[in-house]
Amino acid sequence: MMNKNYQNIEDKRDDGSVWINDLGRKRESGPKLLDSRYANFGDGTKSVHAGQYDDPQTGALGTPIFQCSTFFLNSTSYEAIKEGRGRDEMIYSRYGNPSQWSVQEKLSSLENAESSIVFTSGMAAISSTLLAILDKGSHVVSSRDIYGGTYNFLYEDLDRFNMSVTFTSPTDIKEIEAAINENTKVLYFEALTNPLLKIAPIKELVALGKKYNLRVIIDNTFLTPYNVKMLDLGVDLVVNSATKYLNGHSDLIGGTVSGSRKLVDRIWPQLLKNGGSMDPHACFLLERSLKTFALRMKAHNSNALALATYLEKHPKIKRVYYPGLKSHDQHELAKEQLKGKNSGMISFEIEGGDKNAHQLLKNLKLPKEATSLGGVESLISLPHNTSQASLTKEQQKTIGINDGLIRLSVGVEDIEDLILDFNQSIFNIFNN
Amino acid sequence: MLNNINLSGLSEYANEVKQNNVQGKASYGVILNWESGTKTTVSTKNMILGEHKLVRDFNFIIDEPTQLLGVNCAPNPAEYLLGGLAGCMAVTFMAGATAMNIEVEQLKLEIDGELDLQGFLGINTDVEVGFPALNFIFHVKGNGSQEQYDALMKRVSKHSPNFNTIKNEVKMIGILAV
Repeated sequence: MMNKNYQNIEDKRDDGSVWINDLGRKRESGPKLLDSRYANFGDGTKSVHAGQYDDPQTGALGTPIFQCSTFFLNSTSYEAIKEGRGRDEMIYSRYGNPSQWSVQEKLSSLENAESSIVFTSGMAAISSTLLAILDKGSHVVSSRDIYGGTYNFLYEDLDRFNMSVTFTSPTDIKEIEAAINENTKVLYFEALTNPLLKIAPIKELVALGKKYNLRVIIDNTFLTPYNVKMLDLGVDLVVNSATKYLNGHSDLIGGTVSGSRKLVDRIWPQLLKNGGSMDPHACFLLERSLKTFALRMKAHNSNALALATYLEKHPKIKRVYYPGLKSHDQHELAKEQLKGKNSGMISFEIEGGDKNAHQLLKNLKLPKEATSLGGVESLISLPHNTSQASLTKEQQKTIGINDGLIRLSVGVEDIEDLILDFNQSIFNIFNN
Repeated sequence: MLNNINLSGLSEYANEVKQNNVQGKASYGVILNWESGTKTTVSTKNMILGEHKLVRDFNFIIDEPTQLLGVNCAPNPAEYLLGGLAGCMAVTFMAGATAMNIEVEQLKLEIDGELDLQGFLGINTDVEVGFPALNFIFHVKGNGSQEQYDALMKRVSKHSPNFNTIKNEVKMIGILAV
């Protein structure tokens, strides 16, 4: 637990001999109930053990669901409120709750972060993070390929706060640098774009951030900390839609932000103002789901590579987008940045355009035709009428969303079953 | 929060700067544009605090009273100077008061000075062009003791950046760009 006082300054206060340099409180990782980071362990071990709070009173194994909105106040909590360190005390569940702290510590362990916050949705995490970090008059450089919800927030809402955005290519570092102006404060990109799986050059973005004194914020939803730990590459803050791979069971909406305690502490008051604290029951679901996170990601990655390889060889498939394939435009960067962990997402174009794409989705027996991604079950959809629906046709073409493009989130089913299902489904389109 | 100042945040920042002095470096700047007559507008330049940019999207107008040939639409440079000084002294006082656990109900700071405009007008080269003296009064209501307030007054003169900029000799390095 955090230090409760300022270490030996109480007696100096009365005669007025205390000054700011006497204050003793330093930033520590957390907030946390106990030290349970498993920092030197692998992701499988972290997924299972980190952050777990075994109840000392009953001996119950596993973090209990602290389904309460409020907590008993006492002199310690009053003192914390007075001194502005309410984030480290249990006061009210919108401010903090043991269920939140438990899953946040697991996430911090997996992200190699000092601190994390869980939100009610990915968009709650993204909007609160950006509003907290941006100053009045700030400018953001982001990507045209960005998730529709984030695009709408940047494009429709920033100017209400006297802020602005320029959208660039997510891969062309020269175009990104050219978009930086005097008031640019944040470079905001997705590590792997939706749906064409373009790879943001993270090391170069971090170098640009240092050159221009900016903050780099990366949405790592498509890759997750299992595939790439963004903070290890020098990114300031990493956000995730926890709805996707982190939870992995398509039964929860959530979002996360992780980074230094200094920056995450600045996002916390924005969370309090915007709302969007994750409910304790959702925290329990997320923390339990994360226990199998590393296992699931291994299966997603290997199934996706196998299925992408199969689809690329299929004569009726025009093009496959997958970073693990040599045909990917940035395969060399993928090898360096993703190190063989290429995600569970595939996009591909089928012969015959959107008509055959729709037919394929109907023919498939295993993948569910639904938006979202990262679930244990394969999910399949057409980006033009789901995730990228807010873009005009022309804008869709600009970022490369062609007729017949299908986005597939490869689940953890047996790969032989998935390949057989695609085989029969494609065959039936062209032979009936 | 006591006095609506986050003392934990202040403590954490102070300790961050202790460990990494760069985080205490703050660059400031303004750009002034002459509008017309005695009226000018000032916009604040972006800051760099530590290693990161802070966007400072603010501006303000400066003018002179009509008696001094302005149109009296905004405070004059001397008033901004005294206001900037008072603001800085107030922040320093309040940060210190909060560290001392003093709950302040009211803080009012008066600063007064007299300029002899003979210096500006070039009539008498023997007079001081700037303020020869500034008088300030802290009006404080709170639960602090006399001893604590006396200590705070000393701390303000020791730690307030604007106070020290005015009190100390500052190198003024000017160039002309035509």
